Amino acid sequence: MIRLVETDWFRLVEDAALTDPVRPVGLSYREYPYFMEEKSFRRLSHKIAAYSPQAGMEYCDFLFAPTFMVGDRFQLLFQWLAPEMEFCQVTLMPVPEAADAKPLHYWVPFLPSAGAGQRIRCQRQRDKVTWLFSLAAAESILRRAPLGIRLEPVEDE
Amino acid sequence: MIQTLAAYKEKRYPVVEEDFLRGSLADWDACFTEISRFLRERLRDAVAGASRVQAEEMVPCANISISLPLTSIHTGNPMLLVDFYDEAWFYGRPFYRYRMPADIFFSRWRAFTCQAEDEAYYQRRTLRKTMIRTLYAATLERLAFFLACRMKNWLADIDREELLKGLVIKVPFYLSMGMYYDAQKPIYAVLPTVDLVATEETDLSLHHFDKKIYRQHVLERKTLQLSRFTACLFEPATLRELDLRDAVFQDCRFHHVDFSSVKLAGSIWRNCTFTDCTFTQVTASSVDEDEIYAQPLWENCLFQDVHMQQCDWRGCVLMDCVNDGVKFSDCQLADSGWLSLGR
Repeated sequence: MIRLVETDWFRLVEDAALTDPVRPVGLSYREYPYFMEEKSFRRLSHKIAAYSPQAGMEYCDFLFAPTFMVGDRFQLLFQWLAPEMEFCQVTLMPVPEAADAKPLHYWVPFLPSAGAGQRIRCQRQRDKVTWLFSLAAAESILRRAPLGIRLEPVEDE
Repeated sequence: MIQTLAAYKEKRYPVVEEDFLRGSLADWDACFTEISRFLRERLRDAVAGASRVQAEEMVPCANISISLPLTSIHTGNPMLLVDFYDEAWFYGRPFYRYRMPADIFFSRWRAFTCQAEDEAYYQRRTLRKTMIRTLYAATLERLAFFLACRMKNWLADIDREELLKGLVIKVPFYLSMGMYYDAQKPIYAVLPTVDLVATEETDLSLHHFDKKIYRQHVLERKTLQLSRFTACLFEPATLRELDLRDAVFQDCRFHHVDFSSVKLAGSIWRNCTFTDCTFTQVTASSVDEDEIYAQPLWENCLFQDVHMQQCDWRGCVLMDCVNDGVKFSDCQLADSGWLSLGR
């Protein structure tokens, strides 16, 4: 069997340059913990929460609090990259309502095989959660011009 | 003052982007020789590394892909990946990867992003830098396209021995360039031998023809882009409605040849002789093309009793050529090396 080149890996983090990103209102840390274990994920169902629209708000494609969430534009891509991944929807309604403010759809991902994915991995180290993406996955994300994230190379993976 | 990303994308960004892309192309052209040498050295290193892996793994190479990963620009470390694949390409993993520093191609990137994010041109309260940065992926895709177009020229007359020394290849073999795991443009190939006259195939791009003789032959309606002709003789022959864009002719002789409705943008002709030939409605200019082509080049060529009629020779470059009887009728010669080629 030919030994093939190992892929590079990248960790997904929130862009420090964000000024006024979307922040969900009405999602508790108890129900949506920072690290989404299976038992917490199985208790979830489609949730309607809120956000407060502002001028100049950055409608990010990924949210990192209270738990990691993937925006509508990237949910299908994640599903293609990791077919075993499961999702639960969160809809954020604009409060107060505004003519140009729309509902935002996000998805809480759960990766059953957390450590061994070919393209996406979710690592937990103590209280820190890191989502890792292979080079191919990272390229697929960047090609879609995401708002609100940075990809940092992982030295050892 | 621009307030939304949509308005910014329409009014301000195209100006900045076009300035960056055209400026980059101009920089590359100004450093053509340097870049060509850099690429050849790096590719030799890459091939040498791949050959060492082949010696251990006993794997032939069917594809070399040169790609620009967006992650390299995103992390501030521009590079090109040179990936060597066995037969299982395109969605497989390579058996060898060489990382080529690409700063030489991105000298204007930092200045471009500063210009694009210059707050003098938009309302900071409603339009953020993070929003503007979402426009960069499409710009990089355009730049990668320009890189692939230019790569054809930088490697135009590289010979097989120089490029693939020590590498065990499997025919058909392709070298391509583009975005990582996305659209790739073929640059070079080693393909099964084909008889240009007998074949019914119309697309013969990237083929090599070495020491062939074409006598009394009509070659028409074929695509021969990026093909290479070495030491071939055309005597007499008719070349009609051929696509010879980016083709390379080295040490070829054309005697009593009619070139009719032939496309020559980006082509290179070295040490060729043209005697008693006619060129009719031949297009060497790439002004009307979507792709980026280098100016066609004739170097060290002899033109003897050649008649050119209704041809578009705009932008041609002639170096060390001899005019021993060239007549023009109704040709476009603006910015053409023909104008300074006296008899």
